[in-house]
Amino acid sequence: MANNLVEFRNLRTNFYTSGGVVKAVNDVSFAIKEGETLCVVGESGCGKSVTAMSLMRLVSPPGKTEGGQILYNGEDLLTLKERQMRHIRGNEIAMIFQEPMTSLNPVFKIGQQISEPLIIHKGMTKKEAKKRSIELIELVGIPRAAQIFDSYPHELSGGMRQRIMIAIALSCDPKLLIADEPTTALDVTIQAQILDLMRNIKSEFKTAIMLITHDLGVVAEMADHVVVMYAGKVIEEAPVHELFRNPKHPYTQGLLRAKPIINQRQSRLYTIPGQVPNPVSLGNNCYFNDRCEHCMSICVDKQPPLNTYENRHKAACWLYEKGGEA
Amino acid sequence: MKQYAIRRILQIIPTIIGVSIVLFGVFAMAPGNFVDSKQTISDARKAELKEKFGLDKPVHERYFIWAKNTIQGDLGMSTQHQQPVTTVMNRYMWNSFIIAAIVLVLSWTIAIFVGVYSAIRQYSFFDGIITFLVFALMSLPSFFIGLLAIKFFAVDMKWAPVGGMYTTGSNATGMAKVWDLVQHMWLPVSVLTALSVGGLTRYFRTSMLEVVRQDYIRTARAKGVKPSTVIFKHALRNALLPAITLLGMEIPALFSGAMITEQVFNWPGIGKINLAALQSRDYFLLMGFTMFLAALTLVGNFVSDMLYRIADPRVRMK
Amino acid sequence: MAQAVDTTSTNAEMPKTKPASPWTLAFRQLRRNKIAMSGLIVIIMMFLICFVGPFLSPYSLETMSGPSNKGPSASHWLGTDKLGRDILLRVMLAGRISLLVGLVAMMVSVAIGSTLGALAGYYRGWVDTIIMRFADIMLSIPALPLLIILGAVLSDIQVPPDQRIYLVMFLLGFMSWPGLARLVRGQILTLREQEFMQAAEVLGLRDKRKIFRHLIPNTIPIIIVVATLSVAGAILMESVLSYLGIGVVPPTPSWGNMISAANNLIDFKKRPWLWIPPGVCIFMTVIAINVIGDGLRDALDPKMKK
Repeated sequence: MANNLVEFRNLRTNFYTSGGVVKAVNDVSFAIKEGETLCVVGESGCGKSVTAMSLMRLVSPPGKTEGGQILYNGEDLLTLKERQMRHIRGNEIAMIFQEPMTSLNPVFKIGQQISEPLIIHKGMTKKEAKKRSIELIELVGIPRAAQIFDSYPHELSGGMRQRIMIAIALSCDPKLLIADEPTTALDVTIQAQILDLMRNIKSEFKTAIMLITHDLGVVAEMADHVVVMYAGKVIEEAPVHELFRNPKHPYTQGLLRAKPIINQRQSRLYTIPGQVPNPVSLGNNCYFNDRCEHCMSICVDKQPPLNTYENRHKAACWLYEKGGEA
Repeated sequence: MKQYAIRRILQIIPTIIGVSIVLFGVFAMAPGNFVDSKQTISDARKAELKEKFGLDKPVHERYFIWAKNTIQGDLGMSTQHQQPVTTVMNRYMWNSFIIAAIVLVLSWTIAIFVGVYSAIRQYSFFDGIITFLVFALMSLPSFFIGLLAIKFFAVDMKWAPVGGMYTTGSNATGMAKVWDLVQHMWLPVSVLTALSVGGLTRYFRTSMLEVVRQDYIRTARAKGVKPSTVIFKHALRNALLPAITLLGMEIPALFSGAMITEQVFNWPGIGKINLAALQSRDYFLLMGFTMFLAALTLVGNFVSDMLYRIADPRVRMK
Repeated sequence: MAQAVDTTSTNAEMPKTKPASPWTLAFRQLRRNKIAMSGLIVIIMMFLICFVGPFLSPYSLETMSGPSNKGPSASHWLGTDKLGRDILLRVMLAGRISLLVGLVAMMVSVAIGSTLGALAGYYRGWVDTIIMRFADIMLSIPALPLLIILGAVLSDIQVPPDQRIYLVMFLLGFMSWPGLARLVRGQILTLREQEFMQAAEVLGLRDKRKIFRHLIPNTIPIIIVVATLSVAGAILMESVLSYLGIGVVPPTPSWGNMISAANNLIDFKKRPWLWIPPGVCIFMTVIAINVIGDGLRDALDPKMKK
């Protein structure tokens, strides 16, 4: 069994908004193993992106990471000095984002933007960095790399820009690639290409990937392991086959039911009733209780712990607890 | 690019003709024959001027005569200075230019640094103070702050001469002359900088706030770039881009002179001369100067458009 | 991410409060803006003092109310001028004129600017070309030098002082419409492409109704912001012109022409009470209007929101 590359332990990140404190990441623990693709699934606002930003230590005010540990190769990133952390960012842990159209700086050439981390982290000269950059552009499957090197972002399509983002992320051979909804803003055919590219990278470079998505199709295609988040908490975690075969939490079950199945006529697609709760006023209960079709009295009174079951399957739901039988 | 430039220049022509018609219309409203009422010029000169500008002819003929002369660079005769308007303008404009150029450099430098700092510390105490100061500076009536500055710094504290450009009767040369100039200059320069720095600071702060929220700034930080590099390389470049437009529009201000401030500080610049022309109803000078400024404004707009196109890769290619 | 959190929180709050119109929302946001609210208080005070204050003053401008050229004292809080007139009373009366000039100039500018801008944006084609060309021309003539020539002409053709105020108001308004016209035109150009205008088209409404009932109301937020700020601009411009002696001219007092007392060297050096109070009034009024305008922009213009 591979070692843990990153381990979140009881991570807490809060946002201080005018409406009150939002516990965007609320006592989250899970681990990413070396070379593994871990998918974090959940609705928008459930804290999955904030978890990733906390790992990069790039949560900006009014947000603040206030508790827990993030172990990277056994070292707590949250205690590192900013200078040490900069050495990790873009070098050991790299990140790509949802919006390829706006994630590249419009006033710098593509080449400059790929070269920058090489110069910062690998101490390359401009010339060496250029050579490596052109290799990287080829690696992510863009033809005429030398020409692209001298182009500006606005001259490229969205799919090409996302490839460039991946090239930037890969430039320093990171151990972990965080991809925050990397395909959401792209056309379906381009999505498939980008996912293919990421799979190739994973098999070729043994890079671990933390893939954030709300698309279960992407999860099925990419993941080794899945973490499901709801309202800032991990509510279920399992290897991908186990999760799809045997979802435990009613929320996960709902998500899977909400997906259309090809060749099967459905009069109406299932939707999970209700809305995500107001993140400011969460009590000591299961945050999903008001939308849950199995809601019991204990669900309203007490928060379920995240317990481990067979097949490395974890879930936070009273249905599977003795206390919940009543 | 070249095509665009040509199109823009072609657009300027009708505008400048329109400007000249509007200005001439106002000019023509001046009562009677304003040359006759001048005691300062000889009858022969009066006749010459009347002949040259067709002052006895109907309005539309006068316009064409005036326009023809203007195109040839003849803006008429200053009745007060008894010299061609262009000569008078050329003599005083450079006094205005010295001050305007220093003010431009000072206010832009201050505004960029303060604006950027204020933006990256948004909602901090410093930012609050700056925001308030900016409002205060933008609301100052220029002549009033000039008067207050003279009253306080020159009259009461005696830190600066009350006005003028050089000490009267002084025939210092070399460094002594420069020093004399600096002493006369620092107060009006400070006042003008204060007057223009507010709006600029606000501009840079807003523009920077807009930029630091962009996705590509997050990308830069995720690459492990130093915060100072993120701000001064990745963010400032983008924030400065639209400011290039402003820079082009500052061109007229360089030559127009700060009328009110020059008047208050008795600075012998083109603005003060224009106000003196108002007192003596030196219409040729008033007209010539205003027309010149309008032309400069159009040139400034053109230049800023072109600069923006050169600087922004997104429009440069087209 | 923070944004996502924000959206969910507003969504979650929605059911609690009853659905509010955009105006109520904007007003609520404005009320929370402490700086803008203090600006509003200053302006209200300024209006009250200028318009009600003179009735409470024991003095009048026609008669000498005290010894001439005396500094501030218990009986004359801001001192007296060389004719023995009470400065406080003069400042208040001058304030009436200055505030009025600012307001009327703004109304003139808004009336011309929004109508021409709407016409240009709605009809496009040659109407647009003519209007916007004219706006371009106006924008490229520097305002102060032009106003100076106009002021000189006004003096030369001997317009009586009481009529002159109206001309000054109109001229100041006329100078500042092009900027607003451009903004309104831009808004109308985008608005007229939207569905509700196509609906108006289908209903067969007349142009006048479409423009004044459907298009202009949608540009009101931006007009309000520009109008507010233009009051400040007009007050500043009036004070400059009056200081130069070509705006509002004595005997009508205005803050600007009161400051021109400083043109007399003795008054400037030895009697600051003659010219500092009107200057402070201009400053306070303009800064108050500017912060209100800024607050309004934050509240009304969603694009500018922090």
